[in-house]
Amino acid sequence: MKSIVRNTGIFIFCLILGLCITVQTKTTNSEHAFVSAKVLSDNEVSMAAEKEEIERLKGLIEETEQTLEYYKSEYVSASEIAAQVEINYEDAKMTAGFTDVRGPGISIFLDDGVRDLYEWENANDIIVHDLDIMIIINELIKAGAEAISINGERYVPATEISCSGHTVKINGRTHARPFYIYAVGDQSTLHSAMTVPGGYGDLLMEYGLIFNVEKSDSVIIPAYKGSLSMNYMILEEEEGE
Amino acid sequence: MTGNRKKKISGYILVCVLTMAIGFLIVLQIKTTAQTGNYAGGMISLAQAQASAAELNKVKYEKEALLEELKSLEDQVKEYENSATDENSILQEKNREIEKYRMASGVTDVTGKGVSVFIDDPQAQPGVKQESIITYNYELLLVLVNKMREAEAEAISINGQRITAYTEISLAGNNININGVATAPPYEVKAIGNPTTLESTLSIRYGILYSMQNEYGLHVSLTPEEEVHIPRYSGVISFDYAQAAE
Repeated sequence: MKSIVRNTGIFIFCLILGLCITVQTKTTNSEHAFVSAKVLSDNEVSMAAEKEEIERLKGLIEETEQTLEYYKSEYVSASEIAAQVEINYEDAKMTAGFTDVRGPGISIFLDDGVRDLYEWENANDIIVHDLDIMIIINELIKAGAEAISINGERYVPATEISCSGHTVKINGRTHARPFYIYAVGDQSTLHSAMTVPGGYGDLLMEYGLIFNVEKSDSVIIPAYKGSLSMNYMILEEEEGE
Repeated sequence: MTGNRKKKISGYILVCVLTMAIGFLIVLQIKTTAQTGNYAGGMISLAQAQASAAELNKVKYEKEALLEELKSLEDQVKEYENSATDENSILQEKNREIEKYRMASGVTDVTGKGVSVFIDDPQAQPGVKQESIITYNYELLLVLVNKMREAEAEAISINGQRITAYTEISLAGNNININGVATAPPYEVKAIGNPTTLESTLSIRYGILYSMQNEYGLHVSLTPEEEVHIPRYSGVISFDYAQAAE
């Protein structure tokens, strides 16, 4: 009896000793210390993003080199460079949204639903929310929209869609239902994005909101009426060198 | 020593050696399974992780070098344009405005006071693959950007991607794509603007950060900063359908 207990004791002791010795030798060698594999997949995503950025930067560098070559060329006079500045000015203004634009696209009419509510429903379920407008804008951009307006307000990087009760503030101005959203781009792509079954437009209609989309050969989107003033941001300048 | 005792001792020694061998084999087995396991919830060696990080750093340095090259070329171009518009004051003014329009569009690197918001998924159980909450609720990022605009943010970026009027936030596979580039948590959302206004607007009770934390279980923190650096949108903005209307 005693010897069985003693033998079992020795068995367990040696087993543990064996485990400890190997674990010890493994962890002191970094090849065998472990970290979560999430680190690796995160790095893969970052790596792909950085490589994409590098390609884009190379494109910008090539473009800028071409401009510089053109300017340096002895056949190009100051007045030709000045003409280029005029062009750059119009381009920059348009990209920033400060120009009225026209082009093919779609027009969207979005309004609160008029149907009766079900017992379990709440009035919020059939009114247009700021998030709805944000998601529609996002979907339009995904579909290649080059210019967007909501109730005459041009969508620019500074544009907020801010709900306050029954009205919405856009570009600092108050607007209310119904909402007219215009977008310039490829008519079919924009239209499909808005009407695809299972898409956001579909979802809004399921809730009973009014959502009509029409293609148009000529949509006019007004310029952003806000100012160019910047109180906090300045250009990043190179330090030293 | 009698023959019997010798046998007993050698028996014990044998048992000791065998059980240590078993222990050794068990650890070896665990190690092998870990190495051949897939990434999801798996473990990789520290050496592998360090190699991966070093590769990423190399690529980041390459990008920094290209950015410097681009900046230097742009400065040279500007010099020509500045001297060409020297005589004409109207054109000179337009030349200055070009920079402001570009800043407003998001195609220049900018800096200024502001805030930095950090968002991450809750810690996953080791060995358990967990779906990313922020990835499958990416409209939370749309709401956050919108709130920053309400607080008059002048420039916004998410994980290094500048938010422009042409920026989409979409789900692509297991990642969120911004400006067509894949991104993954944790998210660093930076904004340049009045740090106090930004902080109070975003941190308001029942607001977006509150909601991310309490309704979605995300880890969220906001830090006001003296110097926020926001990069330019590096893509090409071209108009295939839109034309200036007279």
